[in-house]
Amino acid sequence: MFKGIGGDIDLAIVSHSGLISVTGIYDLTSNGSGTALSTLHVETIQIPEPSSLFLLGASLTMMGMFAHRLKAKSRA
Amino acid sequence: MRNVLTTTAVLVAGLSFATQSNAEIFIGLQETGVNGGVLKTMATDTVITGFANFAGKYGVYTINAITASTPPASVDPLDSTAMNISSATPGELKVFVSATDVPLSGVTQFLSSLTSNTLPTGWTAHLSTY
Repeated sequence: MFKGIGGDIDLAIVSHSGLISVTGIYDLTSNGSGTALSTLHVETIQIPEPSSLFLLGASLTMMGMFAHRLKAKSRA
Repeated sequence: MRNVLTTTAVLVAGLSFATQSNAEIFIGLQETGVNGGVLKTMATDTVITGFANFAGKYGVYTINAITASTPPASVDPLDSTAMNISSATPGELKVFVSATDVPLSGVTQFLSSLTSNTLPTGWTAHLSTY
């Protein structure tokens, strides 16, 4: 609730795959003439799931092993 | 090695295509004594996909200039601004900006930034997202 100029942030974590809706509400109450200017901004940050992290780790390990083998081969 | 790179590039391109959004956006207004106090849709993204704007009078608020955007018009699920000019008559106006069919995959953190840039003395602004 703002009674003057100011800013606020709100965090929420959602676990869902599919289509969602995002709604913003400006609830203004005036006591006479004047001008209000407000903004809403919602951004998302993807959080890797444990299984995704495992796959990423396994991929990096495999790539490291592959590079090591190539290096060893080129030395021989 | 070239095959691996090609496969990876194709996979990445496929994933990019799969996450393309066809989200829609709506702007609605609600004020006691106007339209029976029922929420009324004032604008949708009919001209520019993912972007809607409304400019006009509603109830005791003589000028309202409201914008809202969602993909593909913007990167984020919801970006919006609202400028509302009121007459001398006190009143409460609710502005709804809603983006639908926003694709989501897995665990996602939503960060909402709410800002009141200008607010006359005695007014209140309650900003929220859900």
